[in-house]
Amino acid sequence: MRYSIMVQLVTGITIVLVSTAALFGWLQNRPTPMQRDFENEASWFGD
Amino acid sequence: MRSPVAVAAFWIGLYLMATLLPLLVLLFYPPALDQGRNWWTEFSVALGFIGLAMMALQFALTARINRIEASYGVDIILQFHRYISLVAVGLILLHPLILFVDNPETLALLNFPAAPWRARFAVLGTLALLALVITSIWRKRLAIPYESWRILHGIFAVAALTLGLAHALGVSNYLGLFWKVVLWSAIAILALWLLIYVRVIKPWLMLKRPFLVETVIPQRGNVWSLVLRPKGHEGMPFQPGQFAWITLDISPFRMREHPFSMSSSAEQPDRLEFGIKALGDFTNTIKDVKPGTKAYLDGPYGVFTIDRYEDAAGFVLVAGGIGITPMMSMLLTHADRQDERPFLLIYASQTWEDITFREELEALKEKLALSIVYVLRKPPEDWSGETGYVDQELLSRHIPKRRGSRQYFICAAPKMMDQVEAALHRLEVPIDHVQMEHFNLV
Repeated sequence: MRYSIMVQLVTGITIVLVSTAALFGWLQNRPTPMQRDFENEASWFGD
Repeated sequence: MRSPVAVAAFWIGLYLMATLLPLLVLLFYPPALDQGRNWWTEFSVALGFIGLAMMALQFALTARINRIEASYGVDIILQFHRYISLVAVGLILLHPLILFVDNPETLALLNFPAAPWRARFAVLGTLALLALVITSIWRKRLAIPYESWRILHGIFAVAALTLGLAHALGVSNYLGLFWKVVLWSAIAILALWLLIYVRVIKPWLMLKRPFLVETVIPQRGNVWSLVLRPKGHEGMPFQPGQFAWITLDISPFRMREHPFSMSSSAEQPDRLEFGIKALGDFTNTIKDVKPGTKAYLDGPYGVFTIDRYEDAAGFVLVAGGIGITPMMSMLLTHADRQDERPFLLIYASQTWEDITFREELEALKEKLALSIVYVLRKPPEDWSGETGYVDQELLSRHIPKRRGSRQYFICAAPKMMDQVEAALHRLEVPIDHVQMEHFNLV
């Protein structure tokens, strides 16, 4: 039983670590404000 | 901080912080945006860095640091080390696999002769890591002796960590700034320092506090009591139920130490007894150890001790076979202390003749409020006591009605421990009143 707690603990830690890696990926790839403005401007000019 | 939940939350938080902070600081002054890199690239890189930090932390988990060890006991920490290392290996393997799938051109980096050094470091580091895992999981199947395995384990671990760091430094994307190089190198150096502490400094300290074998006493059940006396120092104070790593007849620098529980009274730290069952290569030689042989001890270790539960109204001890050794120390110590609290010992053995310390236990009934329930797998014909396994029915016949008034200690083979723990749980014994000691650590 104690080791099933251990498995749950390690699973929980793994989820936190992988989620943080995913967040890291998003933070490094999120569109910057400048890019967003540029896209909006481009759509206004219809080209 | 006594609450087990608070202690667990503290250590888990510390572990997560130590794993993730070195990654998150890479977000400060990040490298310039590269259009060729997408979310998958960054995710895979993050997994690589997390895996590297986890590898460095493994050195801390196995350094027998008293502070960590005192919260959980070495068996739980080693179990965590085994489980979490598989996660680390998984994350590290995912790092290149994601890159290969997302950008198949990166497969060219596997061409070892043509690849740049940063990729060669990665390939060699991964091979070292795989060797580390394979030799650990299948050590017995590969017939690697424990001592050789331990040396190999250290070599592979150092190789995997340094090659992993060399790869990250070689890629130099996130580690392009000097202070980031210093931070990640410091983590690796700290990990290697811990290894040097365990394998050089600790043995050197042990060398200055030798013990001598006084005698080896044969016991029932193919067990031998190894009796040690300190030479030139006051001995090793310990709490009843704890254990130490013994190095016998060789230099402690050779790292051939074996964990055994003390079976003598903690009130006599200048005369230590270890109950050792002849089960393997090393333990089979105990009976031939000559008086005067030099021994070195690293210890005491363990949280499997009644001294942590001064408020308990009494104790229930469940032992299987050689699991009696720490219990013997608890009983002898409390007899010396003239403790009036009740002890119930449930002791499983193969046969009546196999019951280790049987005569000593019977004698202890005179000095302690001790009841003993022997449970025999192969009872003699005229046996009227308990037989078979220590299961829920047997436990319910003997443990007190007010379950929470006692602390329960279990030391036996893993299967029996799991069964007894589950049975106690069904009998509504509070989970934090059950203490366990695994005696097959390695």
